[in-house]
Amino acid sequence: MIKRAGLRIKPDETTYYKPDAAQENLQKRIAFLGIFILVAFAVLFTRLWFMQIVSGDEYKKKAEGNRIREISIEAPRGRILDRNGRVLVKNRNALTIAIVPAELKDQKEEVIGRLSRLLSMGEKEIAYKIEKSQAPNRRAVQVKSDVGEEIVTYVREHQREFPGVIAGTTPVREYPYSFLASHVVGYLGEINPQMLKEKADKGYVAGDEIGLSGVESTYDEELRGVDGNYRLEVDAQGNKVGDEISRKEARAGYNLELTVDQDVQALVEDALKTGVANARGRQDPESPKTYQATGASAVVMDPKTGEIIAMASYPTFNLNDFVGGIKEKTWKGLNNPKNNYPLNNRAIMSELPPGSVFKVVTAMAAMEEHLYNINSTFYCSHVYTAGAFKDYPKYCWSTHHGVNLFQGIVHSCDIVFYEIGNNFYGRQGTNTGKTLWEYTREWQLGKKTGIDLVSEMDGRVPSPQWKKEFNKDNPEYQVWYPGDTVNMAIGQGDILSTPLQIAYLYSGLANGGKFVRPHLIKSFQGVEGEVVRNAEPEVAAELDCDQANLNFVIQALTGVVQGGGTAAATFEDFPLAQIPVAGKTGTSEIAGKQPTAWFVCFAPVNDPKYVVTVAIEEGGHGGESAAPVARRILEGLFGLPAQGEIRPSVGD
Amino acid sequence: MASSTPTEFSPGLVRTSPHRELLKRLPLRNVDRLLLFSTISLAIIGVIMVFSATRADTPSTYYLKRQLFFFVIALLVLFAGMSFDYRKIIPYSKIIYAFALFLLLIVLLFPARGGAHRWITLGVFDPQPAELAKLAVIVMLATYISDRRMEMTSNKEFMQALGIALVPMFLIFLEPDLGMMISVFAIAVGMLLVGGAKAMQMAALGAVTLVSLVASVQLNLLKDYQLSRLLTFIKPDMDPLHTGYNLVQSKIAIGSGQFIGKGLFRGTQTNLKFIPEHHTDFIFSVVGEELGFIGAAILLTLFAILLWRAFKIALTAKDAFGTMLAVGIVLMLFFQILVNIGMTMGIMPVTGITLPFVSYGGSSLLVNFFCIGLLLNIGMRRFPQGT
Repeated sequence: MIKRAGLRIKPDETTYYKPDAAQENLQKRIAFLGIFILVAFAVLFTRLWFMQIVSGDEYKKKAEGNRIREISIEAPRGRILDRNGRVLVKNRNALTIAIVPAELKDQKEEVIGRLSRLLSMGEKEIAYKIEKSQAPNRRAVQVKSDVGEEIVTYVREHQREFPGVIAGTTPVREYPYSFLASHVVGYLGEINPQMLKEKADKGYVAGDEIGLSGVESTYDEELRGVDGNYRLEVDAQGNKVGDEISRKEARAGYNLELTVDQDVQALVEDALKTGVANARGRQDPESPKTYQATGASAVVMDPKTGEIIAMASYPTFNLNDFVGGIKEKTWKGLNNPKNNYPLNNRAIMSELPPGSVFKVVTAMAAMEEHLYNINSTFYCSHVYTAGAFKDYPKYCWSTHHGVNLFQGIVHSCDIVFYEIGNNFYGRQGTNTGKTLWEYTREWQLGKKTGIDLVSEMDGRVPSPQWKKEFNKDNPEYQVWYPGDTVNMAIGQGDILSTPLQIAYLYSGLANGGKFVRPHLIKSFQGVEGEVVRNAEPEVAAELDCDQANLNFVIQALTGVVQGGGTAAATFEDFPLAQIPVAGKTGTSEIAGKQPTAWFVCFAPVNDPKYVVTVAIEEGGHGGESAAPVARRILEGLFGLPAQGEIRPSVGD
Repeated sequence: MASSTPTEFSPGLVRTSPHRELLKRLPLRNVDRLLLFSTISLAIIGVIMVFSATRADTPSTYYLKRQLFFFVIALLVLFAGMSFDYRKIIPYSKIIYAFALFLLLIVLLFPARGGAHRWITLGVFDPQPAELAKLAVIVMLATYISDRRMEMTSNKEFMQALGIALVPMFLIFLEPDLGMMISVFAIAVGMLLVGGAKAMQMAALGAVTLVSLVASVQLNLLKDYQLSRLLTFIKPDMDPLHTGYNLVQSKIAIGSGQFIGKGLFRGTQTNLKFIPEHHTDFIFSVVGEELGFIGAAILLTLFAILLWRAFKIALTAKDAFGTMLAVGIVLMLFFQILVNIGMTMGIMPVTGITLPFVSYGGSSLLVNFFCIGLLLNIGMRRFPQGT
């Protein structure tokens, strides 16, 4: 039936050959194959079980991650207003060019080259921005802000040549006054890795803009609001499929109302600038140069509420330089020592010896300890040689002859305070009463005031214990000498304070020993202007001091600005009868530098509304350089006609 | 009358009437219903899953209609495979083999698709000669081995038998279609093993295979993508957006199906096109995602039943040719199932082998159904006839 051509075996043998002899062998071979197949199926089943049952949840998450794109809705940052609701900082939409690094793929260099020509920026600068950014690769990195509309149009029309480049609008900060209150407001920048680590649980992500100084930093969380997002279902190509899955609206950041008065701030900044210019035109009698006036600051504070009405620091910077990412060159300039660090807020960062403005603390301490009273008499022969100072005489800046403590404050006589200091030194180790440094700390020096600003410095109140620790590697410098207490009594030596601390000190003085913590925030407001949170004045300390002593000191301070006082010339023609002013000049010495000019005052004395503090570093004497600035500020605060030319007061 | 036929049916042993016994041995009564059931079930699941995978395309029923059409044709082909005595193939095996080689040669002249000359472009239907070649090798080897009473008496015979597979393998390599080439090789190795190759011969073959594999990598005989596909199998997370992407997405699809699946037509990985080639190579991912462990396990069980019945047929075939033919078919189907499902779950390399009966594709459906036809053919003719 079946034809097998050329077959060696007969047809029947082939077709009906049942492998009898090999039967057992065959079954073994087939069984081997069968077992192999069985094992293979067992493997497939096991694998399936592990993937779907054991790791199913994990895969499900990945599938959801594939399917769902979350797109963030940026919350508009809150505006910053002055105490009267005037806008200091707002937002606007800027036309920007941004890059999503992940989408550049292999065309990175070409795209950067094209952008470089289009935006007239260096290729290196663009590459630097991309590399510098900590943002994850899927997030856009801003390359240039405030580009022309034609550039945006060009990029959009030639999008194919610009893969990964986004031309669009981004909300950015706008500072209508550029320089106004720049240290108080502060600038924004990209969050750095360390901050990110600290704030990761508060919803910050890499690439976020964050306040890096000023209230923008202190209140960043309130100002930034809460970003929203919406979730879309997308296919493998990233195309939207169907409707939105969910949407969480962004909550706009709160508007921040400051205690700062825009007008006063402008006035203070202007007065300070003038004061610096005047100081720079003044000859330093101890060198062939004029005063350098490397930096200056001024604070206007309400002693009863702790509100900062104005806070200025010189030199200053333009906040608008930071919009859309600061240029590398500008940034380097701001950090160049030659430019005296314009970014530093000197009111809280400059630690300076307070000099004579500190004398009020020494005077109060002396009277509180009943070592002296306001009428105790001293004799100033220009030189102090009592006791240990026989071989190391100390000098007064002038020769005051017979003075009492009251006159010592008015004329800022150093001999008076040397003697008080020496008396305090004499009691050291006798366990009687409080020490001078204890009083100093009570008057809130040597620690942060706690103002709502970052980077505030502590200042320093020296003590034997501090000296020991400070010089722990140099045992020979650990000894506390009489000169240490005596220097401190006139605000010299190792004592350091920031201008804000001095403002706080005089606020406490003006306020009967009650210290209300300085602050810049008045309230947070919602989008509709409704108050979300009001700042409550916080009483940080209330000194238990003799009000009579306090009044004596204040009385003495009113003498400073009139008659023979150290700032009398400057306050000539000031309506002191209507607006009584208590003030104090100070000229503090730092080895190797020109003296710092201080002036601090408050007014009206009977019902203090403002404490004004001015410090001009390497600016000369307090009376000649700082007091005129304070007077100009007081004129503005009380709506007085500006004195044409304010006279400097020669002396301390 | 009753004892006029003295031989096989002695009345003392058989209680039923000879007439009924004869009826029992009529071929159609002996069709393996379980094999037929599992095959058709798999194909129906395939049609549904292909539709699920391609609904989003336009027109949405294009693939469904084509697969349904091929399914109907495939049923006819299955009956065709049963309709004649399988032993009639033996004299034609050389001709079938030669014809397959011829098609493998001329397919190289047809335009390449995706860099490979795998299809003979006819327009409506583009057959893959390699699918036929696979069957041709099985038939040719079955003939050759059964001719030699299932014993490789000499190394020369072993080499000749191996040669039957190597020639089409070389032509398939030229297309190139690495997956198909490996499956022909796997079938040949399995058939030689069952067909009486000696242990030494198999060992030598293993050694030579290993050496040539290493050599082909060293001499850059493999295309870059072939090499990288094999490499990403070892470490798919290495480059998930390129060669390993399919694999990662397929695993996500299967894993996310969990126990009961996301529901038919509701697989997100499938519908949103995260799984590429989801109607062909990755159809099992769609099953895993939409029908879950239950569905995938049912599918695997159907395959297991199918192979078990095929095995039974191989063991009970009345002659060596039938046994070897069935073994070859078992190997062919098993290899494809293992490699394809293993691939979708990331335990086998990505080779472009489709899942028999389930994946979209006319050629393979027709060839596979024809093979089932042949199995049923061998099975229903397991009794010596006419006696």
